[in-house]
Amino acid sequence: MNRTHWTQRIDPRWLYLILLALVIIGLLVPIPLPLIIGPQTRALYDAVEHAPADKLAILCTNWSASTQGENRPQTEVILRHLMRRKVRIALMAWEQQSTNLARELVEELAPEYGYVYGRDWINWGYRAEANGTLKGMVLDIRDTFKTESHTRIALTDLQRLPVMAGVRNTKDVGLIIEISAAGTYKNWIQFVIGSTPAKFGYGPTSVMAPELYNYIDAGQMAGMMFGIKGAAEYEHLLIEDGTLKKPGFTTKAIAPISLALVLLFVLIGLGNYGMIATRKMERDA
Amino acid sequence: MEPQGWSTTPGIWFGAIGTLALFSLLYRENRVYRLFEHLFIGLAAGYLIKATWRETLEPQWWVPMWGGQWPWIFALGAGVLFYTIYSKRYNWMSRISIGILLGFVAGQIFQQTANEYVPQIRNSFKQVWGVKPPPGSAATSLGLSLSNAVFVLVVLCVLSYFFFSFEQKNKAVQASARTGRYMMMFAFGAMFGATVMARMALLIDRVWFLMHGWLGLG
Repeated sequence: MNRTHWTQRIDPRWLYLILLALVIIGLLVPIPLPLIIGPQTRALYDAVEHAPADKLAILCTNWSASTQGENRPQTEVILRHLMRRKVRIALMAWEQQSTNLARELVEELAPEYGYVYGRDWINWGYRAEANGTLKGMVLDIRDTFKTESHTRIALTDLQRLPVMAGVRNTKDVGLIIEISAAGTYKNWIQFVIGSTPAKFGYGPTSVMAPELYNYIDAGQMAGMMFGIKGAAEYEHLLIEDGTLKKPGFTTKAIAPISLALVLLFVLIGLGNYGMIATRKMERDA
Repeated sequence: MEPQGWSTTPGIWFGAIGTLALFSLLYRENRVYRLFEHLFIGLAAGYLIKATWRETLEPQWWVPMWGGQWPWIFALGAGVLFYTIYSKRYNWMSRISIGILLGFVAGQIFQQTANEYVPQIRNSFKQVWGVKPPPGSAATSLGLSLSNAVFVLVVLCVLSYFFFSFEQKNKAVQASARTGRYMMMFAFGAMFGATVMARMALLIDRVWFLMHGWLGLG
């Protein structure tokens, strides 16, 4: 005789199927859910909104295809906001995949906002080591990267790269944003933030977000996007200011996430109930 | 919603087949899953080598070295020494490179610690009474004071949990340490919840890719 409660004998494949069904329903059926803008997202939005338009903004990425579900929408909303404000953008990456993934995203958005490579944006490329690169950037960005990533034009060639005009080191930068699936925000705080007037904003995966409130509270970070929820909040702010006409995938993803989390609450409750019930059955036997 | 039809792009099809193959593990272990797992690992490793060469080694080391900055050749020697760790006879040589690297890192630690933690320590000294709300803020002085007091209390409780240098016999210290432990449990719970949300977001992205990018739904 099997002395376990029925909840302990459920084939997990049924649970995967229910989860999949909920996700599909959430994506296909519009479910109006309230979206409250968190103070950390608003602070990040304000930092981008008030970044000096005549200075370069650095957008550093450290994500790969494995976390693009969260990091790509974050990168997109930041890019749209910067492009709407006509701020010059420099891409750089600590992750070998994200250098191309972020570049593709900029190339996709550039025609919409009239951004031209070399004039309005530049790609400094991927660097394998963060500390040395950042220490170099504090002294001299042109000497650290030497060339841009696409066709290897020297960063000192201002005729072909007017985007680099007036940019010598991180003191000449107006804003630094990193979208990341790893803890490289620390490298920026340890080596760059404090030596530049530029504000630092961060877009982490949800996994990392809870540990970042210390940095925001201490003023080391201007704000952050809490994973995909933060991206949805940011998207909402962009709709409010007219940058975006309608919600995109990020807002659409909030409903299935909420449904999936409700399912998890139920399953955690059932699992605990089943465990207690099984113990009771064993004691009674 | 208007169905837009299946994608005709080979890359999308390859992505969709790869996604389904990896999801097939949820049903049971199978060879298709293993094949695609190895394929993905191989692709990622190959991509890493290519990107490291093209984005870092070639422009930062190879081109300058052949362009007249010949001392860069010594970087190759220092790098190769790391690989002597695989030889029983010569593995002592790897310690030279490791020592140099440790020296660099140790030097950086001072700056790292000061820049990362000093502002946070300074920020933990908060005014717990008579806090003036910032102009234009809806917060009240009492609310901000209470918030700061909770912050300071939690910091002290968590710190007291880590008093391992002496036995915690004092009842006040015991209560404080226990409270600190519960506070950390709250934080770990928040982290776990955030982790679950992250995983769900990644799943939803893949399902959306299959539905929208591949099948043309939604």
